[in-house]
Amino acid sequence: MSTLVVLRVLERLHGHLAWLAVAGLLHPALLLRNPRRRAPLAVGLTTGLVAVAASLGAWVYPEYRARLKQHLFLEAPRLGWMFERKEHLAVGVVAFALVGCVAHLAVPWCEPGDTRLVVARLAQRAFAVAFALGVAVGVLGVAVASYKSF
Amino acid sequence: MVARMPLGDEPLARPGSRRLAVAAALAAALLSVPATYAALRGYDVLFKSEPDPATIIWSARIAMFWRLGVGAYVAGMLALPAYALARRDPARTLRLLCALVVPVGALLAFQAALLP
Repeated sequence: MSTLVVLRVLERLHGHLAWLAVAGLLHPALLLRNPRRRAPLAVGLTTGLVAVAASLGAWVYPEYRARLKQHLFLEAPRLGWMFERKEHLAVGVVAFALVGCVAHLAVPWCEPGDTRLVVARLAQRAFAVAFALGVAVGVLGVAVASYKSF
Repeated sequence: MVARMPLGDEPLARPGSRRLAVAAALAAALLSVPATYAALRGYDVLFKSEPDPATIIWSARIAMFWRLGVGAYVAGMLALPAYALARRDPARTLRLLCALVVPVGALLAFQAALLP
């Protein structure tokens, strides 16, 4: 298989996994609105999916810069800047998903009471922000990928 | 012989609070990454003159990874004071972190929208 085909497969895989991860982020964002609700498996799997999708994106990113970025900016600068926005927001998706995961897994370590509620709220907020940023990342990614790809 | 803790040296915190402090420090460190990233990119756009991306054929330095590296460094620097704060007053530290989530998300969103 040529390098280009491998890149194409990895890019598609990254895009599909990323959308699955965004859908997955909605689950804890809604579920954890009840601060007493525990969902360590859902939280762990979602965060893992976000991490895998982001790692694939980071792996492909240097090749995007070498092969596509300049062409994208020459042919459609608005889409080029959209991709820049997508990469900035993606950093937030990963960070907030990890914050949510850490906070949710730390809930049992709190004494029952206010602190436990605060940690549960921290987890829910982090997942809600990660989901909101993730939707934006997904839409921008599809807009760019539908115009130019490997 | 059973080792006994001398009187007056009882731990100030209950068991488990160390794990909670580690989690709080980790959360603080992770939150600092997008904040640092947004600040660095905002600074680049506002105060540095960058070449037009359409004119760049190839560059060895990947700015995004560089910003992430600086973010990771800041996160490491912040983790220790956050841990100390969480050991002393976990409730207050966690309330502060909880209050910071939306502003940090908004900061990154504004930076991405206005200063890409």
